[in-house]
Amino acid sequence: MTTTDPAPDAGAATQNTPTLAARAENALKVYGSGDTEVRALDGVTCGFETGRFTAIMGPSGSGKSTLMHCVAGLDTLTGGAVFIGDTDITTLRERDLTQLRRDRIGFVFQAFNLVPTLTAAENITLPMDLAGRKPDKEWMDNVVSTVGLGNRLNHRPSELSGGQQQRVAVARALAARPDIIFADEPTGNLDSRAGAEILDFMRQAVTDLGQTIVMVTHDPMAAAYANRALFLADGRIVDEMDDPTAERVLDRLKQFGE
Amino acid sequence: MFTLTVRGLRSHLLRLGATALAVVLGVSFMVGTTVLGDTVKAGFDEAFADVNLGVDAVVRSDREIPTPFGAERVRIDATVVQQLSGEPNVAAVAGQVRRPIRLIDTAGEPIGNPNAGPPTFGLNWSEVPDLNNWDLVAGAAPTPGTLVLDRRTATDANISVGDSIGVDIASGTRQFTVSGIATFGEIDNFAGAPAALLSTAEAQELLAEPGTFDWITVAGANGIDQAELVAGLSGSLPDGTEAITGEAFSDESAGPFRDFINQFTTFITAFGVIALFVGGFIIFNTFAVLVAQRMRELALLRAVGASRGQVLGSVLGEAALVGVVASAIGAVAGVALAAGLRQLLDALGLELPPRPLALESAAFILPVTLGIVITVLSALLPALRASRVAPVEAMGAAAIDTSARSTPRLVVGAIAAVGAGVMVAIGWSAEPTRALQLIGAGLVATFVAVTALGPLYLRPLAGFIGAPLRAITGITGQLATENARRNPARTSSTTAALTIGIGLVTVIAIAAASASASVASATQRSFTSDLIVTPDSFLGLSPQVAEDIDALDEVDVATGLRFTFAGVDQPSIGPQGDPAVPDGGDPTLGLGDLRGATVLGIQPDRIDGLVDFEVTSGSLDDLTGATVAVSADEASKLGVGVGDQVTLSFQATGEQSFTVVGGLRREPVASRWRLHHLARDVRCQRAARQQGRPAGADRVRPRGGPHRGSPGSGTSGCRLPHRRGCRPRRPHRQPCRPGRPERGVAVRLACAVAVHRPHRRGEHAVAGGVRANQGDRSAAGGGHQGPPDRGDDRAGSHGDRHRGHRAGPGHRARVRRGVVRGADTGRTHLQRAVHPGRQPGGHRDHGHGGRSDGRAVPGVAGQSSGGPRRHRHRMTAVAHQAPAGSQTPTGSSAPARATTSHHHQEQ
Repeated sequence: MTTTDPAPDAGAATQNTPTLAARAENALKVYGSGDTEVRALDGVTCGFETGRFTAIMGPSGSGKSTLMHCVAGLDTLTGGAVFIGDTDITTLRERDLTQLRRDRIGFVFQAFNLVPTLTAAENITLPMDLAGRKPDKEWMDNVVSTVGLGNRLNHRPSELSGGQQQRVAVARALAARPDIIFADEPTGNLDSRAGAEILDFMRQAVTDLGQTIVMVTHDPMAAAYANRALFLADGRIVDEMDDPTAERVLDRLKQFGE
Repeated sequence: MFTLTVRGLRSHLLRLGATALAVVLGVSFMVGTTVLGDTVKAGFDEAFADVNLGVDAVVRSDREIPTPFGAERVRIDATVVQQLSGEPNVAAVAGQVRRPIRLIDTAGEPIGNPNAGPPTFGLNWSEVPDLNNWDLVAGAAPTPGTLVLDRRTATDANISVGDSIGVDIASGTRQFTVSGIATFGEIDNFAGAPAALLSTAEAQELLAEPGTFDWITVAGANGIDQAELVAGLSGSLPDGTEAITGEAFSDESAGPFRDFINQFTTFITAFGVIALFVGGFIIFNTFAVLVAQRMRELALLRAVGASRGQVLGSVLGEAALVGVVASAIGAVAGVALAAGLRQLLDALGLELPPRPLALESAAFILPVTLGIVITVLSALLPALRASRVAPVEAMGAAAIDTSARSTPRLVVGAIAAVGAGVMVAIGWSAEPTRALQLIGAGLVATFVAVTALGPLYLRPLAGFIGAPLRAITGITGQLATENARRNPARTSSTTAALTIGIGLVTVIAIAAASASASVASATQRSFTSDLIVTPDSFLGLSPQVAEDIDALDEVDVATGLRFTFAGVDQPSIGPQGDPAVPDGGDPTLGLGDLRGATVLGIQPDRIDGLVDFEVTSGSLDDLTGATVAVSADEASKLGVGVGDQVTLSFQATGEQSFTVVGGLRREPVASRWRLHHLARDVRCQRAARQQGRPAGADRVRPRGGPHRGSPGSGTSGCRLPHRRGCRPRRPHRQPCRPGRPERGVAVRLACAVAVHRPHRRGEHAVAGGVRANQGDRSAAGGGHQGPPDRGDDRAGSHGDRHRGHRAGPGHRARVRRGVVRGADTGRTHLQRAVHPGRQPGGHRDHGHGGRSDGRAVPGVAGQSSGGPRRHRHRMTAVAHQAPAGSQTPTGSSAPARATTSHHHQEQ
């Protein structure tokens, strides 16, 4: 397997490639100071190609969630830069960053993805409502039919199963046609069957709709749905793997423990 | 986004509904009282416009005597009527007399409820048709000895033409024959008040002074403008009179009613404002909790692209919706409340002019706006906190409460605390109105400070208070304490409503107790008598009551006390801006305006041991019809001392000059309330004006005989002074002629009788005697022997009350209040016997004592702390009344002494 020195290559490759939906350059995130200083991200440089499904793997505390939050504009870096497309989001003001999240980024969280007082359909169109835009009807129908919620669209989140809720969350992320979707342990709260459905669905969105997705997970089975896997440990990218399978990912992860 | 707001609202409907209740209550109180106030004010305006229908101008004295009940004026000479008739543009002139009276029906019961409803008016039947708005519907116009009754009263009391009816006037009850029934235009009574119309001559004699009118109404020639008419008249008016337009007169007449209603509505509106203020804390708390609960949802919104403004807007929008809905409900409820309050007032006997509710938009705008604004403002802080939530918290990071010791919070709390201190400090020594405002504002600031600074002290406080809980219940108590301490900011705002509620209740309780204590101690100092007998209506007591009580074997000495009001010229040094000029007076009196003062008439040779005036100079023995004793305050204000002259203006007699013969440390009654109340008892009382009648002509009744009744019973006899405790009593009586108005002090009927009980006598006998003399009206019960304990005492009084109330008309001479001195337990007998309905000192209007501690009230020396009194009343004048027709002091009889001003003197 090709696991040798991928990071410099990835960094060089992303530098001038127009097909990167997002990238981080020498991203640094430090919590605390002095003796209690924790380097959650210690100079991470990576890129996420357009139309690809990337999984970020790593043990707990490796910084994978922090990396995602920073690239998605939910959290700020201590140093380095993050680009969404060609936009350096580290220089954006709060208001512009909010707008960028709304218009160019989709999110799927592990839990509490939906506003409990809104119906499934209203949750799906929420980012567009916030922007004051009308959803593209045809695209909406396409997304909704892909999600396969049909008759449950007018139900509140509390009336939906966990799998259905996550499907609505993915549909919401897709509906605004963002440049990139970030998913944080999207299957973490689901049983394996519902999880597989969601992952299938996300994979489908990438292959059929050309969507770019970045997913943080610690589950090798989930990573197997991705086109590529990045491995983080101690705030650094330590490896990357194209077309990962569950076995290979598991093997790779076992090495961290040794 | 709006959908989100509405959905949010719906999902917290229950919690928000409870929140909204405070706003609903506040708004409805404010709307309700405003609507009620508007309605009643409009009603009075209309009523007075009706009363003065056809009146284009009013001529009256320009000498106004401020009293606590509005201004009185010196009467005007009847000859002015003839003089005005000759003026150009004058179509008709009529003299008017109007006095409150009391009607006694054929069964001997008083008609109406003069203490609660509108007063019953005694009017003169004007012979000038244009200026007489009464229309006879039965019978004929009144002649001497007969009267015309309004139709409503006649119907209600089932009285018809030819019936006999009693009229209580100052000198007693007079019997009249009803000559006719009349309506007041379209209205069945005198614009809401019962009325009896006497022939003009008799009205002048009995209700005013012969040859005088209270005012004169003028109808202008066709088409003349009221102002033009007044301008024309003004040039030719006699000295000491003035003319105003009929409209101005109506407006002025309605003024006191408007003021009263304003006070009433202000009082209730205050509750509305407090409810909104408390509501503010509740709303703040509710939204703080809602926001905390929704942190992740709000973070999610921020993550998927909601701006801070949108999050802020959604929370504020929710608050605004709550505010709008609650205020709207409150507005509707307020109208219902206004209707309900009016029913309540009606049910309480306070009849208000009937008219539809006045729904003016102004009544709604302020309360509704306030309701919405307070709701939104209260939600502002929680909304701001919501908008600051970091999107990353949607990932599950716990919301950490950082507000507990936030700097802004501490700054706000510190500023509020300092502001509260400063406002209270300044307000402490400010003049009353300003003090009220300042201390009120300080109170609000205190609540804000206590709430804002909660995090500073709540942790240790909760730990301290929770200690026993922990000790008793172990882990449960531990958890409860820790929960209270965990988020002190939230705990603080949660407890705010309770803090405010308990704070306000405490304030009111302390204020009531203080007022009660200051009245009690002042009364104890001054009234050294064993009993004080006061009437149950504002008409006062007949002088006969003092006589009858004095005649009892059990009584050592009893003396009548009389109150009236007089105007005092402002000292030449200029107006002192006395803010406590009685209601209705102008607080910015100029030179030449009169300041109100209370004049108390006494019998100086009998007052010893009954009331202690603390004479500091001169002697009360020198009181005659032309002399006065003056309180220290008043003396310094006027710059007079013994030997100087003072001039007082009386309603009946105009200006009178007196020589000061004594100085008094203070007035006998320190509390404004109490003084007012006593004074009210004699309000509108005619001076004892049956002067010159042979003594005892109709005065001495067989003991036990009815007191009420015989016409002309006003003459009082006066005995020579007794020595205290002298026995056997051999009443030596001599004619007594209560001063003519033309002479000296305008003295009114005895409104109180001070009784000195001889020692070693069975007090219960007094009760029996009084009861007998009063025709069972004033006393019941009594006769208990031995020292009762308090429980017995109370029980007995309850029983007595029932009997006392049923016993008879009771309108003139019911003994109202017992004042007991000393530790002699037997006194309770006397007190209770003479005072069937109430515990000693427990008069509800006075606020002193009350049922439970009533016995401690007056006369118990040593309880008067003598601390600084903030309300000071001064004895103005103690005057002795001269016999008719003479300026010379004689050994006369019904002396009159007087206290002073109900002024609140500013320091």
